[in-house]
Amino acid sequence: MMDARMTSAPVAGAQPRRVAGGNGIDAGRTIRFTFDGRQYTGHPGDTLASALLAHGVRLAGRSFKYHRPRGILSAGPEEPNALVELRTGPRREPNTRATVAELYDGLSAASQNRWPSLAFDALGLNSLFSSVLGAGFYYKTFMWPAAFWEKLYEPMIRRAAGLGRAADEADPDQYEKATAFCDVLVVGSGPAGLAAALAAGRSGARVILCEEDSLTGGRLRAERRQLDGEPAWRWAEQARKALEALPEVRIMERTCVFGTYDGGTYGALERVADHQSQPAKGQPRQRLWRVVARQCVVAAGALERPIVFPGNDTPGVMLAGAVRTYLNRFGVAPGRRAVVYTCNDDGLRTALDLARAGVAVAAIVDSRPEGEGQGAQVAQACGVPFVPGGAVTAVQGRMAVSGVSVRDAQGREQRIACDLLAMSGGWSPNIALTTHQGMRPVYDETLCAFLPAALPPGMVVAGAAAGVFTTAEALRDGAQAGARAAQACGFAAEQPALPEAEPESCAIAPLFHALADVPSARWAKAFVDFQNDVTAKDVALAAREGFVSVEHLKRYTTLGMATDQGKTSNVNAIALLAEITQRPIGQTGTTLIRPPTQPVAIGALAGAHRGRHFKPARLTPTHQWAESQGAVFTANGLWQRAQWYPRPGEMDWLQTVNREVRTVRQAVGFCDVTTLGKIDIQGPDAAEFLERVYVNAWKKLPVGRARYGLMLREDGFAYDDGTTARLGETHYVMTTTTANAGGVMAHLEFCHQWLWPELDVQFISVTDEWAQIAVAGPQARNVLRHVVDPVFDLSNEAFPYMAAGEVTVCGGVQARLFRLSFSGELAYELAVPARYGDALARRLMEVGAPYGIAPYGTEALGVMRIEKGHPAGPELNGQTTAHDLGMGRMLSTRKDFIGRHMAQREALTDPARPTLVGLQPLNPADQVVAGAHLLPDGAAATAASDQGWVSSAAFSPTLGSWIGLGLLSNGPARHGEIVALHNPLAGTVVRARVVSPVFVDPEGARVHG
Amino acid sequence: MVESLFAQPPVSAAPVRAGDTVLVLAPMGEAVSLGAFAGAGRAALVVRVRETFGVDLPEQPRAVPSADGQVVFVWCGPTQWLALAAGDAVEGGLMARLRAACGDLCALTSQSDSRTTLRLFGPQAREVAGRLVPVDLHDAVFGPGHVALTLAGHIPVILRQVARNPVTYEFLVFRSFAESLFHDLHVAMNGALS
Amino acid sequence: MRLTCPFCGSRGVEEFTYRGDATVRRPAGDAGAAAWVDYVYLRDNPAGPHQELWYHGAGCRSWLVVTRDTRTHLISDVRAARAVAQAEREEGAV
Repeated sequence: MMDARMTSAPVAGAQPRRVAGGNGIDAGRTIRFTFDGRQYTGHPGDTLASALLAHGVRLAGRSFKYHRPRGILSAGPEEPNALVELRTGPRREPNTRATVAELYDGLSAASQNRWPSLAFDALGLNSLFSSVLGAGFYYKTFMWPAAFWEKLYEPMIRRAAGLGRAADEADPDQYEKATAFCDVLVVGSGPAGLAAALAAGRSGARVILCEEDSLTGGRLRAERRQLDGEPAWRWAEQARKALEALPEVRIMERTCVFGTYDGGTYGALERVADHQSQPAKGQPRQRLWRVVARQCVVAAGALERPIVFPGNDTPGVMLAGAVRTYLNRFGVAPGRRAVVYTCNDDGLRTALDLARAGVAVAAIVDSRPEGEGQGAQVAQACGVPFVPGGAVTAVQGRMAVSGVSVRDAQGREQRIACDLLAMSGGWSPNIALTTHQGMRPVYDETLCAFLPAALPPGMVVAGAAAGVFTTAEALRDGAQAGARAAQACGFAAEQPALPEAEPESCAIAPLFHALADVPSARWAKAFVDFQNDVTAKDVALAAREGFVSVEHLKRYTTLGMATDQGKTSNVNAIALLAEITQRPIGQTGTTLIRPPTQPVAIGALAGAHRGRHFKPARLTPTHQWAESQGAVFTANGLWQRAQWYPRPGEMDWLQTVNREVRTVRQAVGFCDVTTLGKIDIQGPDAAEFLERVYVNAWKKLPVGRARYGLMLREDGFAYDDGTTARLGETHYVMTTTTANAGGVMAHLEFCHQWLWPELDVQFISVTDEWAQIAVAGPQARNVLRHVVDPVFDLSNEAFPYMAAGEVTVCGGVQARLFRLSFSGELAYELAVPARYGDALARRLMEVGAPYGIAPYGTEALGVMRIEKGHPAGPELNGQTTAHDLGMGRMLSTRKDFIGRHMAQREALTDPARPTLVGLQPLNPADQVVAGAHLLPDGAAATAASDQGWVSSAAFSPTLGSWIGLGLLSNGPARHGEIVALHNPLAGTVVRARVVSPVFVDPEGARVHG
Repeated sequence: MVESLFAQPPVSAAPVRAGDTVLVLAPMGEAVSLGAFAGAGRAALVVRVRETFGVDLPEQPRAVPSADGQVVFVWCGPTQWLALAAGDAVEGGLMARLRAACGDLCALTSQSDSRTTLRLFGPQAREVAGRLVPVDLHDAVFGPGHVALTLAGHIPVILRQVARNPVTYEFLVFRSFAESLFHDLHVAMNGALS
Repeated sequence: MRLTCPFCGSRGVEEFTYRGDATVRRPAGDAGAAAWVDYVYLRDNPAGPHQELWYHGAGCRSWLVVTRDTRTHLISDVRAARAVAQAEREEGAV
């Protein structure tokens, strides 16, 4: 039956609850939307909530834990109840507050946390089991048997309790991040915010005014109030125009300042396209702003508190101020017959506004005793029964309010029929931004409100956020704050002329928990936190169980921990706890609010950095050429490097890599090694500097030669390695590993600027300057003779192993040539200016073709370095010493260098330390896996017999066997011994012989060839 | 026999436009870094550059042109500058001229291929740059001649404003990052325009 | 958080990397094991103003000595590390 109704989707054309007025909507235009499959109409300027209310729809969702019917409580971002799934498909967003979702033509929303339908929810039965779902239920229930938790309880709870469903597909929208700077940031555009922005803006200061709503004006749009004899919202519009005309003022609507951070930095979320069905092409959906402000005026207003009484969550029970917002801004009467329940004069205004809009007011219930406040006058003005010293004791109606029970000062109860209950427990200043850095607010007994005390540097609070509740005072307060903020930035600010406001009263008597003293009310559910279904009873239970600290209460009951972060519940909860523990509210405590004040999508935090663009990609000079060769790429830090170059007919990567290795060992190959960090080092003290950062000696390295160097950290462990060439008397070029290129640069700068400022030396990165290509293999020299200009003698005598020098190539292109070898073959690294890298690769392919040249990738590079026993990342892992890597003898004893002293520690030179060895399986086909543990042959696989690990492994096509490098206790003394390679993940054991780590050409004849 | 290698541009994309704002790869030119040696060397270097190029090396993040307009000196840190010249602007090459002028007083290192210049100009240029660069680009704070060594999104850049009308920025970026920065700027152009 | 680089001006913390305590000094070459252990491993953890080394790696590559209140993140002073180190040497030489 439900399905039939949903598919036929009749259009409800009329909006029965629409009334005249509505300063924020365009009543002349009608737009359509659907809620739970049913079509409705609304006007531009409506929110989903106001449009639903215009149709008399009051049931908006089901509650989190008890699945109780819930309506619309508020008219703003504090909404705990009316959470919907907005949009469909990949754009479906759960837990969207209907009160801030702007209506657009075609909007589609669905209620959530109900099954099968909103009106009939099977899990509403949870309410019947509420005795086991009370405070801390998940700590007490579902505890046994333990195995049931994962399989039964948790899935069950997750299904029953929970809010909306996230989209199942990737978010199709774009997001953006940006930074903005200003002198004065004004948060909020109510009377105080507008006055502050005017005062600061007119001084010439750079002002950013952020308003999370789609319209500026704040409560000026929500109230029937006059400024200078005109409707207050008109003044707000004029003020906005005046601000727009100031060149240094930027008005940012739909922008919520959600966090205060160190150093005058604020986070703000701009909802760029959320009011449209989808963003325009190229347009981000949301934009995350980081606002850097010298001064900040927080004029974020206040949030009205509900009153805690039984049934206060029934649809039709609303905040009194929200009722006025719907009447005055949206032209919607949320009910036909209302009761107003208040403890303050501000709440009384709701009765006046309702009466003026033609809504019957059945009664005004004021908790204050007769004679206190303006209740009697207001009731008389509206011609409405008045119940001073009264309380609402019960609400009739399950899916919506049909009446309320009211107890008068004499204790007499009566039932009053109504479909709307407007309640006001007073207003709580919206001070979240003032507490993000740990500043605690203080409780003001007169205002019944927490007010900011200490503030972060550069911040002031104005208007209702500072407890200044009347319009006239808020305007003045805002103007003063704005002027002072501008003055603090060095501008001569004056206070702007302010409009005349009518007198108003905000008198209040504290009222948080209406029926604390009535025993019968104890059984009924009086909600404190609507979204997380925390009742007054839960708070009392928690207190009885000893959770009397606010922080404990919060965690035990989950109060304030829902998506609304307790905006409507925190103060009531503290007041209740104060009442139970018989402490003043001020001494009971506060909970600090953490950013963000509003939900911020992960997409907005990521901005444009997602998917392939999560981080920038660094491309080598031969990248395009390698792509054209069909190379498979791998990420090496930010770099994209060719991993291998598959050829037609090759079955898998291993076949390709084996072929590339054989090509190098038997003919010639080339590989782009541009990614190795290259640092140009010049200066009179360059050699001395190198002596201090490397473990080995440098002063005697002749010009035109390169040397392998090892760096330690100051704690004595190996840090980085590479070759450094001496290009001139005071000129070196250092290479680092790809991974540590940035780190080594920072390290050198640290040593130079902080440790040895007396050394005269300069550094600059030349990593990107040169396309550096390794040409390796027995035919390397023959190939290079076709590239390097003939005036340069490449013979072994003229340019031996470890030679380095400047040459020209291909008819005059400046280049550097190094005779270095990572592969163990006759090899060179040729560096040409990066712009020529691509052309050089093509040239090498051409001239190398007769020699059988082929490009090779990082995988073959890795295989060959394992075959040669060169340590790389898996060995230089931050836990190995020079001694562990077989380079203990490189440590010079004739100079100081970074790490020297700590490297001499006994434990670091203990021969029993795991030390570099080669591992060759007895059966060449047995795969060696990096990470396997090294155990004595035949020993049990226990931690006690663990003697090391396999650090690197590869299939060696040269040996026709799997091989590995490992770090083995007493390794060098154990060559020849058989050890077990235990892989506990696969449950395999491979027996392997301990050998020298140099598998290929141990004499090093080839590199010298 | 001269069989010169062809020079490949660091960015493959053609110029892109959003509204009247344009992003283009500037032609490759010459760039040489000057790293002043310590002690008296630094002061001597300033004097020597003044004598040769008719301009004072900037002591704060600024870019200044030589008297003949052929070379721009960009502040790159407390002891470093980057000299920039168009490809054929300096006879005999920028490196040679600098070596002759001050090669004894500073470290000279070619950066011609290290740095790529992406030029962004047009009415929205400041908005677009502000999407990526966390530096205040307000006209009163950052104008023509101003330089910032900073990040554009996640990418390190040397940013300088070269003109006010239309607002024109140059992003000097490491060559390997150029494609990524070009992409990010292009995305920002579309976003800032909407 | 923001730091004011003496060369580049006020910048967001993402341009900087933190190293640590700027009050420790690298011992002389012939210092004993205790001095080295102290230098490499032992750190005070004051609640209040603290001198720290930061690196403006995404900017002018200057190492900085930053005085930061560890309780409030208030930055009261930023100096070029090189200038601090040089001044100490001159003092030591006097």
